Amino acid sequence: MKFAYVPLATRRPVYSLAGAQLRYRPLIPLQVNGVHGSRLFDCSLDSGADDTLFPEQLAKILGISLTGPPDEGEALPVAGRPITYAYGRISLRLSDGFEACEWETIVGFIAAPLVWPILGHAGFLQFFDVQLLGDRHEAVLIPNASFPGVTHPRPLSP
Amino acid sequence: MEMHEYLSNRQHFPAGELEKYAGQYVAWSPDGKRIVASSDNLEALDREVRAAGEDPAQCVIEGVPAYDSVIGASDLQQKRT
Repeated sequence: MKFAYVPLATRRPVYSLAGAQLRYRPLIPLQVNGVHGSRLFDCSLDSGADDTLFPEQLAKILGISLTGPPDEGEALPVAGRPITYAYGRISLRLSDGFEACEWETIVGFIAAPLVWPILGHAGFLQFFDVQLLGDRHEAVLIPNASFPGVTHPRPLSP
Repeated sequence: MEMHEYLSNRQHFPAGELEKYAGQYVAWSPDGKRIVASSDNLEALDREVRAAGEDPAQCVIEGVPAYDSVIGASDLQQKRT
């Protein structure tokens, strides 16, 4: 599956990007399913994150059961205080409009505000071989041998 | 929704138009051509999407960063002033 990076404007020219006023980010839309329905969320591919994390409010909206202590995660945000988060089992669906992958997994739900849900190793990146094509502003994801769900490949051309 | 259509149209939405939503979540129309609602609270966003006559399950939610540089997708900040 291929996803173009999402262009987001900046207020000021970005010195590290030779004065560009757009940042291209590897955001991909993921469908999160719960007992009360589903939501589509643009999520950030983040190879620096150990867990996959969603906002805690989403668990409430979708009726997803969460773990309590001691089965919690803990993270240290940049320049922040350690925060704990609960885990929940959910069903996810990823599609670029041509192919689709569906699987169940365990992710974290964090009360701290997130700009984007974080697609970290556990629950997401572990199941895909990922290429970030910086020059083309494109992310390529291929489910790997450990992918635990169902894939719907691109139909063959006639 | 047709994901391919959404992705194509979202890509061509004027990036500068999103600036006024900095620090909030926005909900896209299913075709990715317009923003249906915005809020810094997901439950409120759900209500706004329904009030706009759309199905929240068909609208992609996207966070708009409050700052020009984001480290690790953390900290949805207050709306820019």
